[in-house]
Amino acid sequence: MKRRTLLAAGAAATALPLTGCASGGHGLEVVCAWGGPELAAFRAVLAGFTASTGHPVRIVVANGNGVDAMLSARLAAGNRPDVAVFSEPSLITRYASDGHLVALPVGTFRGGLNDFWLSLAGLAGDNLYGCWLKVAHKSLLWYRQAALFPGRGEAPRLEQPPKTWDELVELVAHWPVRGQAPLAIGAADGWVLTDWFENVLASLTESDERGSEYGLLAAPHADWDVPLVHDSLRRLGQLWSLPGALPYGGARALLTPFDASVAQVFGEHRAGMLFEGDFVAPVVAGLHTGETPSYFSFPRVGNRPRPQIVGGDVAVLLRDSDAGRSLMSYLTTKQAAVPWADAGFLVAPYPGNQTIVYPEARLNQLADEINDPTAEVQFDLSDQLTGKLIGDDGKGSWLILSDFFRAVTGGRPVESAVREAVHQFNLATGVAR
Amino acid sequence: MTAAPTPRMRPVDRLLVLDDVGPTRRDRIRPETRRAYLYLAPATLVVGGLLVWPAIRTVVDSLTIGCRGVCLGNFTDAWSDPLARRALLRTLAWAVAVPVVLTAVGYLLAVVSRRVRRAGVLTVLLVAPMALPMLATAVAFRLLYDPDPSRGLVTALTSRLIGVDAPQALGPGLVTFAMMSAFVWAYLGLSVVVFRRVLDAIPSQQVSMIMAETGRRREVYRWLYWPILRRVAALLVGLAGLFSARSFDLLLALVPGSSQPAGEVLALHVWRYGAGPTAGPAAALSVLWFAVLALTVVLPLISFRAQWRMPPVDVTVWDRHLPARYSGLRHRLAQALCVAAIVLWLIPALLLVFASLHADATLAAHGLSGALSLASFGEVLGAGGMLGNYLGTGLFALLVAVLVVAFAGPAAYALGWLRPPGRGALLTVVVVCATVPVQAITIPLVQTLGAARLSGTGQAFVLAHLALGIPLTTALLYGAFGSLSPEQMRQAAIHHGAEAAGPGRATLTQVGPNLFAAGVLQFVQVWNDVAVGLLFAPPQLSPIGLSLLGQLRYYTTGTGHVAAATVLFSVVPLVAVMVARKQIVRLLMAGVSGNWQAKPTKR
Repeated sequence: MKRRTLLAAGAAATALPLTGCASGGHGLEVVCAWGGPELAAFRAVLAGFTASTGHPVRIVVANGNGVDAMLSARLAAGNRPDVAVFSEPSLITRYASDGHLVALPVGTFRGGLNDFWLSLAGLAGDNLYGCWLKVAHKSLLWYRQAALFPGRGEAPRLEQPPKTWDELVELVAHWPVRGQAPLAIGAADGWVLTDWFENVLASLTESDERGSEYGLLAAPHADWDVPLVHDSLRRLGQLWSLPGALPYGGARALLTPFDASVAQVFGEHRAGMLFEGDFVAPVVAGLHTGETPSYFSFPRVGNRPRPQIVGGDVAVLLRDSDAGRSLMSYLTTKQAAVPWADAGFLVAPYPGNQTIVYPEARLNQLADEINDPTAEVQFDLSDQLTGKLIGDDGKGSWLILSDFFRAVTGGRPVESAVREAVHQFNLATGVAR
Repeated sequence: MTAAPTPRMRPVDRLLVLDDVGPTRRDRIRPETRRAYLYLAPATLVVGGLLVWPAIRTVVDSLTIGCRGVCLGNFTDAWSDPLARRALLRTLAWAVAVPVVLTAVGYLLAVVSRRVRRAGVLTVLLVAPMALPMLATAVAFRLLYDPDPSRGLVTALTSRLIGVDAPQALGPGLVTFAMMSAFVWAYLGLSVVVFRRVLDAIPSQQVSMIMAETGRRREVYRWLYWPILRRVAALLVGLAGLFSARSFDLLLALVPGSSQPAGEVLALHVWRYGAGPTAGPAAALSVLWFAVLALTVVLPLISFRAQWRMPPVDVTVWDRHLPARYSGLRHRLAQALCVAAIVLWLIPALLLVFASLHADATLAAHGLSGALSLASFGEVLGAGGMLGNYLGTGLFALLVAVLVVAFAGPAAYALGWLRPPGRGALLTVVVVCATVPVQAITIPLVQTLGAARLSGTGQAFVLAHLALGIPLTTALLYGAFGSLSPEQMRQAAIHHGAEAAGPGRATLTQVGPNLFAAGVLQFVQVWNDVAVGLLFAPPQLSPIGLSLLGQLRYYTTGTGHVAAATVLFSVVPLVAVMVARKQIVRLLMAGVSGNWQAKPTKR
């Protein structure tokens, strides 16, 4: 998750609001928590809207605690903005049930979305609450081409990237490159660990008449003491606790933030692989090594389909007006998607956007993978969790996973660490006491 | 002071009577009560509405959330949650350990600094970190403790000494120690300077007279040094509220996410858990936190009521009471200690500046041994909107500083000079309010400002800063007004015309430097702030502290520009405090030496 927080980071100077001060038209106010390149791309999107409709738009960037905190305060003050951008679909459910959101007729605003994306955008009967802006691909393992497949007459160190979980475990256990450890994990950031967990969960999940097991875990009082969770944690524990898996051991990995783990692979060459989403590439570019990172998809676990975890940002309407509705409907068009693609972000999953050509071939591939019908596509679970499981540094699901990571890399038997983590999940949902 | 020495009097009192040749304090006309209340009204309104009321709401919340009627369920829930319980105990440990260390080491260095030449260098070096934002301290210490030996100095040294598996300072085992060391680095200067001034102010005549009377060195310590020690310790304990609130910035910026639970104090805990399903227990913890802080301010109040009066301190004279000679073992020991302290205090600052002189990519690839460049400064200064952020933060800080002094000045004048009835109680309220950290009243404060339809506005940001700044400023200025003697006022009045209406020019001449110092301190407080900005910064403003906190997410791959941004962020408060340092010390000294007796002795 948290591409948002990462990119908000670079934004030393972002928060001065953009006032699209065209005269005439109905002025709209949009709240988001972006900074840096994301904010710049969003400005371009809104400039296009203003140019085509004449409605000026003012962006308000939520400082610090994010959109939810800002909206709560402004709703209490009776000073609601027109539109807000959420990264957590769970917020749509909450705001909609509190009656803060404008319900849009699904016929007009569907934009051809499939059921998966439609339900995440808040589908209630004939009504819809959200329109997608952009998405993220979170099922990738990154490596250096020069390390594994040097070319120029040198033999490749590996036949091909691992396709299954067992091959990945085997690769980590017998890493072919001397002088480096196989895995860099930025375990100081809890969201890196939850992203690992979600991929294994998604690959192993089964569906029945109640829906997928993965989806059931997002419910407020879900029971986490189920074979799926035990199995996923056990596999992660076995991988993470392999001797020599991490460049400086588990204790050091827990002090390594996400960006430092990228540097361990692409800057210091102390580690061979790194798991995370499509946003690894810009961080590698920031290292100025001149190297383009290579990647393979997160392998399938057992005989299950390959996991495909996605994240995304969705806009909701808080104040009804013709201008507001026309902005929402503009967001479903290809015109609104082009600035995102140009800036290197994956565009919203509207069918009309499929013909968009990205500046880099990698992005075209990633965009295809997100819509891969053979993969188990799931939305980032930690962005759907509620209550005490909401993650933050040292809190909720992040805390549980980093405690689990500390236990298994610190030599605690995997089985007992799994039991403890499951117990903690159930304490948070109120199932255990 | 008292009529005549009695046989049972302490030796020190006898001496004071001999010394006390100044005018009596209470030879004025009856306090002008109505005028006093008028001066108190504006500050009372702001602090009452935006600090006292949210604090009361927090207490009510802690007793009612999740209850039918009133219950203690939230307190038992908080105590049964291991994370919350540990945060509470850790906060208690901080409240005890930090003042104790600051007092002990500060006293030692103050004594030492009297035994060496050019002690001014030491003092300036020790005081400078106090002006820095806590965020800057955190970045400097993060560099110091970086787990990568090519970047972290301490890690490099320990891994060379102990071996490869040296414990990591920012790991869960040592994280509290790492935070406290940063804290002591930041605040030791305060205690050294105050001790030094007080020690300098003890007339050598008093020492020799006690020696003559009792013949024992011990008695000098008992009657002169011990009371001083107690007072300064009390001042430091009294600042525990401020310290508590500041540990928040430190925890967020210094400690990696996975280690944060191991170092979590209430400041961060109640912030994180204040809303949602844990609101009730978080409110209960806030109340317990209040209780701890309120207890810590009782101590200074008792201590300041002590009969012993400090002699007036002349801060313009630096090395007035030089020891007789600079030689011998003691002197050499003192010199060695001084040099050690100077080196220790320089290292984090130099490390920060040194890191800022590298490009991000160089640091990520080669650590601190990479090539030097100004690229990071270029990147920070070249970022769009940078200048706007600086100007915006500066203007808001200036506005808040002027307003806080405008509100707190009259209030302090009323309390310290006009002395209306009920002053003692009011003063206690002021001091207790000065300890209230914003994190403990977050939710009700947001709600109160929301109810006033001010959410997300510049007014809310300014008002929140006012409510938090007025009490401490009032307490400090009270010391200044309270220590004015009628004789001083009369003199000023003769020079500047009659003290006709209110705190006229005469008073201003006397306390002008104090008001200036209080303003500078408030400016620095707002400039350095993170927590209030997180809650209330209006969308038009991105306070520098806040944007720096955001950049820390990119700490490893952006160390160079984070360090450069930190240096640029720190320059402003550093210059402000250095320019006003004489006035600031005088203000703090007035706080220590001012007449803090709630009920003045009538003659």
